[in-house]
Amino acid sequence: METKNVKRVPLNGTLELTARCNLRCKMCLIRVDEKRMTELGGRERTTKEWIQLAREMFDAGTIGLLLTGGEPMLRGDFCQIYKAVAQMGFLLTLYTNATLVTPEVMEVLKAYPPHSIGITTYGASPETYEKVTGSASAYNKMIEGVRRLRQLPSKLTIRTTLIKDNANDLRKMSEWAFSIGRDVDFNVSRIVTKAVRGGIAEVESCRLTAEENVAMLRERSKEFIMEPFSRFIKEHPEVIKKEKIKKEKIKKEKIPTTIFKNADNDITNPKGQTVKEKLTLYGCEAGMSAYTITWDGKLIGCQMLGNCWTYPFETGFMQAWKDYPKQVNLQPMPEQCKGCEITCSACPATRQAETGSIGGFPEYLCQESKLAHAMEMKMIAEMQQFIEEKGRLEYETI
Amino acid sequence: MRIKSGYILRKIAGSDMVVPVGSNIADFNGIISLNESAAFLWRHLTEGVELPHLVTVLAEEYNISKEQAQVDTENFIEGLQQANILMEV
Ligand code: SF4
Ligand code: SF4
Repeated sequence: METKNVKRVPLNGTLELTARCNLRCKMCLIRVDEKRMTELGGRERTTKEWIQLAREMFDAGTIGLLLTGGEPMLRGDFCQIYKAVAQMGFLLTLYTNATLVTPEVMEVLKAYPPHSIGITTYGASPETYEKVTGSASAYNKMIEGVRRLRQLPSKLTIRTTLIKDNANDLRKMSEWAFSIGRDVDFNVSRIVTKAVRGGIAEVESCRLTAEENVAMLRERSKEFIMEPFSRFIKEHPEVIKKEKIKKEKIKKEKIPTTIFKNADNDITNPKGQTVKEKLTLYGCEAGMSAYTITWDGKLIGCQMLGNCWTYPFETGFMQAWKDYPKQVNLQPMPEQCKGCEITCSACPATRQAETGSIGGFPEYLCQESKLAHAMEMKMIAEMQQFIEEKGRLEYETI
Repeated sequence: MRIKSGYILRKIAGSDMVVPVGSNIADFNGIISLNESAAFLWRHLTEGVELPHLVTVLAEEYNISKEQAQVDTENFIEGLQQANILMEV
């Protein structure tokens, strides 16, 4: 593989401090229990090891650091690791389910607030929490945890993942998230892949079917795109003639998976424009500027991508970062995908999760992507028709 | 005057950046990127220093007139004061 002239800088790191969790979400991609940890033969790294590694990451130029899990606050030494890492000078993000925010945790978070906190939530009631996480009481603990975290100057994002058991709570969850404050973001994941790296969740039985998934997307698009759009057009008929929406414009460009080709060449894209060739391993930042250190001490491309790794605790961070591309074994695109023009929700990592190989054909994701694409095209057609009808109306009234 | 504690100056891929940590993020939650002369002044400001001294060292370092250095330094200091990053010693 050609690797010369390629600049890789480890700017964004993720530390997965543990893959254990106090909740047992049906769709968790990562969670393992003690039994599975033994089967996998790994061990969680110690307080000292994490702090030392973070220092090496700092020296290597990492600026964005995500502390995550599992549930990171489950570790007895969370406060100790957090305090040491937060003083170093990273742009720090913390992911948590907010059910273990004790006064001791708050004390260190107050002294060194993360720049941003992502809070994963699983429903809008104890009943839904029971179904999704196996714990009804976790709901009230989460509400109280969020109340505490809200006292920090950190940017808050409420996150959720939708499955069959909580999809009906979506509206209530989003209303609650926005009621916390206008500065709070609400982020919904609706694509759920099978568990990765030995995670124990049985995702297939609980995730939405591709049809359910896209039906929900349609509802949300109606509410957040179509309705505001038609309102806007009705209120501002003057923009109609100028702003005809072209189908080609809307279609997102597919990112090619360019494999470490030589240097920063200017290339000509299919439209005849000259662009800088984007050098990647997987078509994204994984392994190029981003990386994850797993609970058992491996450096991987992203938290989902456990197909190959190096050993930062053994060789030192910088060596592990340098060696990573040598481990990467890229696969050709699946046969079925050749020539496909759809903006697809699959990537090497999700293909790996779904099929066990980064080059496997991800049936579920394909179905979802095609349905979502058809839905988008229909929506665009409806928008165009709306514009044309309004346009004609206007014309007739002149 | 000097920079309050908890602002960490870093060199990331050749650029100077400051990351606020601790309760400072209540004043500024993000990254401050500095050009070369701003980073130069910042380094001096991590220890107690007065304006005239900063003007002198900036003029010397970049071989510019005292007047120009005065204007540049004052602008930079003003920005820091507005962001509540400086303290008196
Ligand atoms: S999940 Fe896929 S797109 Fe995202 S960082 Fe990993 S490999 Fe890249
Ligand atoms: S939509 Fe299906 S065929 Fe197209 S790229 Fe995605 S997985 Fe492949």
